[in-house]
Amino acid sequence: METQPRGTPLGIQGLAVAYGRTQVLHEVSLAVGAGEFVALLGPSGCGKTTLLRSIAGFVAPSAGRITAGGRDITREPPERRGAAMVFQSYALWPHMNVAKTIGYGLAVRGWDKARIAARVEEMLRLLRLEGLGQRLPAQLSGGQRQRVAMGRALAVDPEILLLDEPMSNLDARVREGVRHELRTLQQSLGITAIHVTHDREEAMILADRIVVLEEGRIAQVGPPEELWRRPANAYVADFLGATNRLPLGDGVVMFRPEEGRVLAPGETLDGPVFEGTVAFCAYAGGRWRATIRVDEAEALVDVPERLEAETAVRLGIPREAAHLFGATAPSRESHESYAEAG
Amino acid sequence: MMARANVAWWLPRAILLAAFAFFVFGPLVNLVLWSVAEAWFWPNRLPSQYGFRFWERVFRPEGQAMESLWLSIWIASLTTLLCLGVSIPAAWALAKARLRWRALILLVFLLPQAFPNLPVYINVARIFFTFDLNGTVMGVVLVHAAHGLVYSIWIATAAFAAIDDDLELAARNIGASGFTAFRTVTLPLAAPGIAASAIFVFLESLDEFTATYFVGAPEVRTLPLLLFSAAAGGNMQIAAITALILLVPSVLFMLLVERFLRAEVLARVGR
Repeated sequence: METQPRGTPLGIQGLAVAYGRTQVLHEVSLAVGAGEFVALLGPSGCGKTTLLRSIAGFVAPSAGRITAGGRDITREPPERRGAAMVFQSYALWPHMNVAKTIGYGLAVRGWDKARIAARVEEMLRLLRLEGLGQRLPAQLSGGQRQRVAMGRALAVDPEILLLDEPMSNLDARVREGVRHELRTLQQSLGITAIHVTHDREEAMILADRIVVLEEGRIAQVGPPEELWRRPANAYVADFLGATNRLPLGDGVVMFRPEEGRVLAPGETLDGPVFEGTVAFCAYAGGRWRATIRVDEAEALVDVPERLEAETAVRLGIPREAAHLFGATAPSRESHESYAEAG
Repeated sequence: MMARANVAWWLPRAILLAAFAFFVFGPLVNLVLWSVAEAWFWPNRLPSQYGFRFWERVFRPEGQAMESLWLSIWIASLTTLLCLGVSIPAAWALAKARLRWRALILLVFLLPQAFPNLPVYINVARIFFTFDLNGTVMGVVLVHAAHGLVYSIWIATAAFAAIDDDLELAARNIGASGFTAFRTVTLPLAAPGIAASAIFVFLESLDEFTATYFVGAPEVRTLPLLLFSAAAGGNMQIAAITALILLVPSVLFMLLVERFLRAEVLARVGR
């Protein structure tokens, strides 16, 4: 990282949150370094947003501790945590123009008007919102709203930036650019960032480390490449795209459609090889995606040429792409599919 | 297209519309006629002599009507202020603070409406008597406020509930205290709903008769009381003019309410 991190390390120890009788987070522990970008990844309902909101102080934990820069903030009100959030809905104030919105945090800190105006101008430039200071949220595009929400959070120079799926309401094309902007911005500011998302690609591109959450527990923590290459369990593998699941010995092998291979006659491969037949083959843009039946199971594999249905093929999975898990893999999905099979 | 030209299609509609217009505007026309009737004797269908003599009498500086009008407006203003003072914090708590007995508390504010007016107000008058509140503006304001709180609490609760919690949290999140966030974000956003509730309270107080009669009369003579005594004394012209004066603020405020009170606010009432 080129700049000295100005952010604050964040510590979470044994954090538990319950909504009524529903336990949403089970003793989650996590240490985030100063200036680190961490993505909380998981499907909806996994507790990632709850974790973020308890860091912000919007949700009261039933147990555990949250520290920022060594300071215990577990019981602090939201305004005394030094963590600024970008909301999924942006939560822009409909009655306040862009300049007032971005300057709000500075006004409540008692800055004088000239200083606020200067800082607001700086933020407008940084976020490419020049000339829009007098607009109301209703007069902005989705991308502009997202940048205003970002500006409001960044204007107060927070120690920790909390991002709650800030790109989920943007067009796919806009999103691509915003990702890189966000990463550049975070690195140049040296700020600690926690980013909630259900989009694995977004998490991969943005984060130094990814935390995969499963039903209120941390399933795996690690740098994107490590998670990609060595998912700790079937749940993580499935979430990171290794959606194919074939029985192998006492367990299963999981792999990504783009990493499986249909072998030429006589070709050998270091890794598991299955005998199967082509059930279906469809063009998927630049490649063909074949559905291959192996006994009772089916797997999707990308192939360069079209394969005729009912052709017998050998499906190989290179050793480094084959993720092996025991039959009792702690994934609900696998339990369900076994239950169906039985 | 054929159906539209059909008499069976438009005739019932026309009759319904005419009946509706008659029910709404018929009494009004009668009021206007009475207010300018200098002589109108049975069995004449219409007044035999028209003029503004009674209007002039009512608007004379020493006329009771103007005095009563100002008193009514004064009482309505105090009632509105009192109701807002109670309902804004109460409604905020009801809408945002996740109170356990929320539904029950909201229901309690409806209670004054549930019982027949007369016994309630007679008892209020008896209790106020022991506190020397009978015949005072304060006493009338209190009893009007008890009634007005129904509107102000329910409508203000709906107005607060219509505001996404995240909007206030977004302010807290970047350093605003709970009160600052409320003052700068939640209150301005709820203002249209609260203004609408204030208008309802004001109008209810302005028109209120029964409670004022038992608690305020004869010392506190509001416009509706004046109207009643004029009508009871057979002075239909004064009664008609008083009624027309009472209509003015109602119509003005109703036009305002229509602008303020959007459907999405009303939809949250009782949620």
